[in-house]
Amino acid sequence: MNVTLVTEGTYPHAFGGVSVWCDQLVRGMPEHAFRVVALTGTGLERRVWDPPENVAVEAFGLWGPAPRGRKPRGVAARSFADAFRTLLTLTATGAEAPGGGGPDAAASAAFAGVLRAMYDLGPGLVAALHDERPVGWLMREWTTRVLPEGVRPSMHDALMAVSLLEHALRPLVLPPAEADLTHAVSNGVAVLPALAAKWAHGTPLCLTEHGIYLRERYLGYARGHTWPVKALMLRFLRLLCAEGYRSADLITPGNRYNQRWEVRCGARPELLRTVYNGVDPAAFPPSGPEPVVPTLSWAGRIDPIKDLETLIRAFALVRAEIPAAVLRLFGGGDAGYRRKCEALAERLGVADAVAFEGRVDDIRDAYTAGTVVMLSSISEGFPYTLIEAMTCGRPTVSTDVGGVAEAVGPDSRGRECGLVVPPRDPEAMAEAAVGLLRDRAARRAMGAAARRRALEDFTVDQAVASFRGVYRELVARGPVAREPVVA
Amino acid sequence: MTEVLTLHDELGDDLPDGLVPDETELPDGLTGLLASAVDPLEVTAALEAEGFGDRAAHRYGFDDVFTLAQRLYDTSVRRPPRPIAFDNPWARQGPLWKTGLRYLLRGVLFGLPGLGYVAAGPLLAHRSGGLVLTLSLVLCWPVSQGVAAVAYSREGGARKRVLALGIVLGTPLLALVATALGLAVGSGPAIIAVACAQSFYLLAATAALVMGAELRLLACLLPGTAVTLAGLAWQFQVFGWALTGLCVAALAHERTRGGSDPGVSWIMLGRAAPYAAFGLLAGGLLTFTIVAAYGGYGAPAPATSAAMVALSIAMGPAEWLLTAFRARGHGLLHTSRTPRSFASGARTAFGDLLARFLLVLALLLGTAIGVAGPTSGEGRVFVCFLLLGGALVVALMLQSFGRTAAPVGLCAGALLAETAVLMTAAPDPGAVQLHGAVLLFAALLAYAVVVLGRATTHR
Repeated sequence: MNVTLVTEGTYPHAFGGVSVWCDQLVRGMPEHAFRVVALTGTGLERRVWDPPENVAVEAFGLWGPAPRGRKPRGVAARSFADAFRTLLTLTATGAEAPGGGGPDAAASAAFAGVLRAMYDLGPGLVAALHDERPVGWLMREWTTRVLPEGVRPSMHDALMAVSLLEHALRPLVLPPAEADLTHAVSNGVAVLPALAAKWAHGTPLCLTEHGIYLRERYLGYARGHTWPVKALMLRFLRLLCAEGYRSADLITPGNRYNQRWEVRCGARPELLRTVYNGVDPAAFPPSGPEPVVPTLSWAGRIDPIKDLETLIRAFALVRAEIPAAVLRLFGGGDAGYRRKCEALAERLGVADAVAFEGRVDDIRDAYTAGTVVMLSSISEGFPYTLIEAMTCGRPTVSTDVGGVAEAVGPDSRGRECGLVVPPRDPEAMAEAAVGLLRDRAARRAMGAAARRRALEDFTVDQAVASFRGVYRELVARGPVAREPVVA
Repeated sequence: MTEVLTLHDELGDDLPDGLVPDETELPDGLTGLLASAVDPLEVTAALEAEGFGDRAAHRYGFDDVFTLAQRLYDTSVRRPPRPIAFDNPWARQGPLWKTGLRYLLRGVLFGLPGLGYVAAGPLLAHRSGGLVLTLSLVLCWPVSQGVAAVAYSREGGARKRVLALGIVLGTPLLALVATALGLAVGSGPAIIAVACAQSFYLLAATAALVMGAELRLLACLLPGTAVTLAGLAWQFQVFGWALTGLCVAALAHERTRGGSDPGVSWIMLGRAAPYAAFGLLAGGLLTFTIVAAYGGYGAPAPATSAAMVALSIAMGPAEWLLTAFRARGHGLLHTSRTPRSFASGARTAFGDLLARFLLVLALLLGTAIGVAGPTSGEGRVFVCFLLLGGALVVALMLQSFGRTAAPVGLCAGALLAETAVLMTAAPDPGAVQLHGAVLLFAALLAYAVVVLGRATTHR
């Protein structure tokens, strides 16, 4: 079958968990032809993945040169004006009233109508959004709203907001190719090509979320934008994500924890089907003997979101109990954050026992190096590092974020496959680590249970088989009836 | 947010949602986040990102972090911090006198090479010689404008390489054209040599100016200008200007070496095309009477050369004006609250800056023409070059906003019309040029007033 896989800022142009997952998926199903629509910055980025033969990649830059198209005239111009002004009434609002709920059904229907009308304009959409009139409409819309104290939108705010909308809506001008299925690898703008395929050909949509797109946008827009721009874009993205959930024929989150956000933002619970990430057991055989020195190891990208500070604080507490202990950190990343962490280790007097090892060719070495493998992140989806360490049969101590608790939860025989502690809590993390470092039998039992659990539930074959089933099911249902649009 | 942390167990049943945690219990920076939050979900996202999840929410008696966030949002006031200051990418860097001096210097650099023509005076006496030099000069402008446009679109090593390629490829090309022209009209090898040197100088000087080497370029020009101003014998003149040429070559080499792959695509060359076309058209408009004279339509007014030098010098202040307008436009975007107030503010700024430029140009033209001494038709030359200068500045301003089509179209229309009138009715070329200038300035001004008042132009 022909599958359109829509990615945003990941495969095949960037490293990271989501790209690993995409690569596993397309390699795991050589019987299907994949057309990857990669939404990127400029569309000219270098590829860091070499896709297999069953994959054709089409990069589309959200921020590159504007697609060519004539400014709509006559009926089309009026249709654009109506659609855009409706969009503004939905998004250019003031602060949400206390106790306000999510977008209601009428707003969702109106938003769907706006997207459809904009899709119908074709490439002319971008030219229409470059025009002066949308800026004026937005300024006028803002004057009719009650905005928070001290907020007075400027022309610059309006220009910025219209420009951000223009870039976000660009995927609507991509002509939708006919395929048996669209698989969007995140919510948000990646859903736009899927909606277009649905409108044009009735193509069913499978929506996979590893993190929560909207949640990440809330964090991203918290800084760097003025209030009116931030409020407008977040309203827009909230409506867009709700439309993604509403239009998906099946939603496959990467963990159960994500479902909280998805259901709250409009996903129907009966359409949710969790599919966990998987690893290749052949690449992660049992790690064998433990290191001689009691070692805590960590692997990943050095980044504030990984909260290595809590890990280092916890390690200082561990060292007070077990003076021989060492901490080894594997991975590259944010040099500034690394310096901050090194300074912290210095202050805590453990710098000589904390080693930044840099990137390693074989990530397995990072797990083998640890008596206990640590994960201290404040936010995660369903982390590969954790299930890889489990596959290697190492005991783990992780923070309770995202799908972590689901991954290390008790196995079929009720045995714990890893310890979970609250995030940003060095004492709890140290206590768990000390407990494991002092109890060889517990480590061995946990490592064995973890490996068994990983082989049972988190293999790449299982993940791919799940999607093979999902694809078959969606295509068997046949083309989706084209929904009437309520304007 | 003022409520004190109370354990859920001690609560009465009338508060089923639990109590709001004390500020000290919550992640750092949450108070500020609450003040500028747009909805409760933003608060939820921030809490979760700080590791404050469902489990923590349970401790305060909430079902989950969503309910806690909703409660925090409901009990706080939206009061986003005012943006302190906006970044103006066009704002002047450094003190006013320094910026002023820099643009003045650039103007002098545009004008000084004109003295080379004084040195080459004996050669210009030949009718054909002047024609070859003028035409090859006019052809240099599009090449240097195009090279500069591509160079400005690149950075670092790529920019250096573009400029180096501009000199290495542009000079032989222009020399070839000059040689062909010289042979066609039968001017001597000396003329051809000067035309080639002129092509090289303009491309090398473009490279030096793009790389910000104004002072060094001025130093390079010293030998040539000194011998000319001292009125030494022609052998010294040749020597002085040859020395200047060598210095400029050395400077260009020094500033463009160590370049890297320019990564120039056809799309980029296509984008530079309007700038090149504009250079050619501007040259044609300014030298209209000079070229017409070689075509046998009567000698140009004697003040024309002096006016050309004055206009060249005025291009320095013109560049200053372009950035000043962009800076004011950007500031207005931040301070205007309606499209109408922005439009009127932008148009006022435009009128103000254009008026200042015309005043400077008028002073320069008056001085240059005055120094050259009273001649016939100097008044008309003054008005004509004042209008042409104004038109060129308005066109450059539009180009700096990416509006390249209209200036090129209008300039091309004006030049074609002038040529057509001259060839069909054969009136005085000076009068044709003046009428062309009036119409061109009016048309560009009308277009600019409309376009520059739009906010999207200043994006």
